[in-house]
Amino acid sequence: MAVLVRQADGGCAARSFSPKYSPEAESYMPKMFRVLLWTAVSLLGAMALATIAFHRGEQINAMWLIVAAVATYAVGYRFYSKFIAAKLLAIDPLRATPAERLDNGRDFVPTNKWVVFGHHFAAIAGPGPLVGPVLAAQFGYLPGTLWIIVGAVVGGCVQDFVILLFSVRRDGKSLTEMAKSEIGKIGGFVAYLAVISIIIILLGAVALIVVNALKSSPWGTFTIAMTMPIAVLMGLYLRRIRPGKVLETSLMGFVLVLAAIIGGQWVAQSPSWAAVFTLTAPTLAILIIIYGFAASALPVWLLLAPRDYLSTFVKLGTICLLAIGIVAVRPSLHMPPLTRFADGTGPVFAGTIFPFAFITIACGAVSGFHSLISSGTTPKLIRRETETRMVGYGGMMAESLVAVMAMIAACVLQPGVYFAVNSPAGIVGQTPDAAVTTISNWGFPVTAAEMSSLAHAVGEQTLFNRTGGAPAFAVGMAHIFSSSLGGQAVMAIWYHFAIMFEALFILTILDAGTRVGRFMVQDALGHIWKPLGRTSWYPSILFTSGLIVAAWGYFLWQGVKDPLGGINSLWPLFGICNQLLAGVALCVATTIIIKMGRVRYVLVTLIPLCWLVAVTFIAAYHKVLNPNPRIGFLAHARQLEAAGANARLIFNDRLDAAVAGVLVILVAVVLIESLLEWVRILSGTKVAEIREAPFVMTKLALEERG
Amino acid sequence: MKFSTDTAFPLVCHPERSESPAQRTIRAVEGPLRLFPALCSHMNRAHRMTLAILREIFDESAYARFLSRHQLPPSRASYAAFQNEHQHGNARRPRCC
Repeated sequence: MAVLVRQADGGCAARSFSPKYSPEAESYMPKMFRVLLWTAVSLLGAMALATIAFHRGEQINAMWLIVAAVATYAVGYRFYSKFIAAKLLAIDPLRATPAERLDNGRDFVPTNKWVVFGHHFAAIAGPGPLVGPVLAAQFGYLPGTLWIIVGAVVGGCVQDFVILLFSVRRDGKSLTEMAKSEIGKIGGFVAYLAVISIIIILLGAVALIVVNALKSSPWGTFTIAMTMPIAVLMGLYLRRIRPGKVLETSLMGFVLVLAAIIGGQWVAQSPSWAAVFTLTAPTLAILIIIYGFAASALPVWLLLAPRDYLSTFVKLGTICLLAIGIVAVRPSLHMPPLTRFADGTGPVFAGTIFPFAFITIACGAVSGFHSLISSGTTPKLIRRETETRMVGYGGMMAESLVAVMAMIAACVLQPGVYFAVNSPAGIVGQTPDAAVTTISNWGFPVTAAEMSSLAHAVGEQTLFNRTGGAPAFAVGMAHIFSSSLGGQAVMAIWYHFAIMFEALFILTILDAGTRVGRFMVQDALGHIWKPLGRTSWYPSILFTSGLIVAAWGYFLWQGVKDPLGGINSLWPLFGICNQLLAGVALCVATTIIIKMGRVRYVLVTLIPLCWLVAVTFIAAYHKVLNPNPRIGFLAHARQLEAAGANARLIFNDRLDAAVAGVLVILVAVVLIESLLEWVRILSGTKVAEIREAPFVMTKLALEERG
Repeated sequence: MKFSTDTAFPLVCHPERSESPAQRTIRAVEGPLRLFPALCSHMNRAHRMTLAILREIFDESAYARFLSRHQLPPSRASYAAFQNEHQHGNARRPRCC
């Protein structure tokens, strides 16, 4: 592959340098064989995509989804990412990265590409790619799966890759800093506001998922409650007994968590203990708010760090297990490719496929949050520019595959069961009989006895109205695992393992997110009054922690009290925020591409940017102004007002509408500012000036060549 | 068909005809046996790489770098110092949803 290489005189020349890209390296495999291989992979992918898109009437095997995804990712990585690396970014294998130039053994450390890949994947993979696809499965498996695969290859992977490379070329600068320096001060300010809004809404939405997963579930509540003393024990063990042995401690913590899962069964069966751990949604919400505050204010080493390690350990293990389970069982998908809810009347969340499927699935396809990680720790570890392709583009592909697996976990359930678990009582009815009648009338037969038997098999009292996505994912995962490992006898263990795994993920994000938000608020308030910016000053810690917890706690409380099931409004709001941040990231990327003089390739980022702008702006319009009270916040407020409902609920709807509206306006400002900058540069009224770090020749290339 | 190299004269020989059954058996298992060390080496490399990834994710490598940077022996006090140094950066590190 040809790359642009800077010459000693400051000019550039196209040449092949890296062994990775050289024709000699490629000649190890005869050209004819390579052509045949990639033709076969492309045909296989096309056939798998055609099967999932056009197959009607009969169930299809989940392996078609896996084959379609893997083949598309392989072709996308081999051809599209290589094209971006060569033509658009002109990756320079001779250019030293900040990890090499600024190596301080602490933040900047040149690290092996596989190690960086693992590190990056562990940071970007959270509960989002698991929850979003489960919720979007209400439209059938087809829209969500296509969006996950195509969105990742054309949008999400591109965003992660280009932002990572641009950050590497700017000494590992963050997205907000790049927005400020490349677009303008307003760009930086909006990026900051978008980030803090996402954090707050995300925390409220994911906390609600935990509440819905644990309400009236003594087993789940006990297991999650036990992870807190286990984390403290791990913290003390790490600090006092075996300092630095994190892997060993995490393994110990994992064994203790497994013991807590098994112990939870005993708790659920004991009448006295079950009563202690059977909590209502408002009680759980209050406990989670208190936990968030404590985690933000306590020393990191005591609770936050060990929980983070434990959560990462469980996350990596479970994702591997899920992949093995799906490949071993090769289950059939019971969900049809398209359901009747494509018209926007879905019970899980209201709204048509366009734009709501694309808002609901964010992290598995395109996630603005990833741009924060691609411009956070990862660029400070990258050893060579050529490695950004594998880490940025490849890391997002792996995340997208996790989302496909989550879609499979949701779609292996009988559709009637899926809707019974995921639909709020406000839609399907308060009693089991009312719920099964409503759902069966939709054409998805399910009986109360079937649901009762399933609840009994997973060790729960009921599985009706367990909204939020986590319980449905847990039932699907337990179904897959129990078919391959242990049979029906251990289904309850697998179910609670899945619940524990998601809740652990989410609580880790709650405590870490609250802390990140607290630092951001401290940074901002420090401009108003300096002492508030001091991160170790306790009054400031308590005040800013309280502010952040109150912000997401408000959204959580609102979700708990919402009669339509709060996830209905909170998750789309979170999706809009996340995709808007992706819009900001792609604006930054497009501006830099234009400044680099690569306008002919600008469509690489401009197409996903236009798509995201269309999706988010239309979704925000519907969420604010749609006359259907199940979709539009203002219509819902009017309906509540007419019915003489609680003034707080009406206020909540108006607040949600205001948040969505303000975010869209802010991003529109960034978009307009970027557009003006593009016009100024392209018309020649402004000199394109990119703010890359000066070129320094790498020493690593010579070392690698011996 | 190949040239024998253990004689003074290059002879054209057919291994299938000149070998005894025992030699043929040895030759049959020789290939896979030769592959075994290579396989072991690949597995060993994969194992080391996995461990390195886990050590980086779980900050064990960062602790090792901290010890070598400050030339400290591993101890409770060193680990506490490492955690204090890393507390700020770790707590600010974003994690995705």
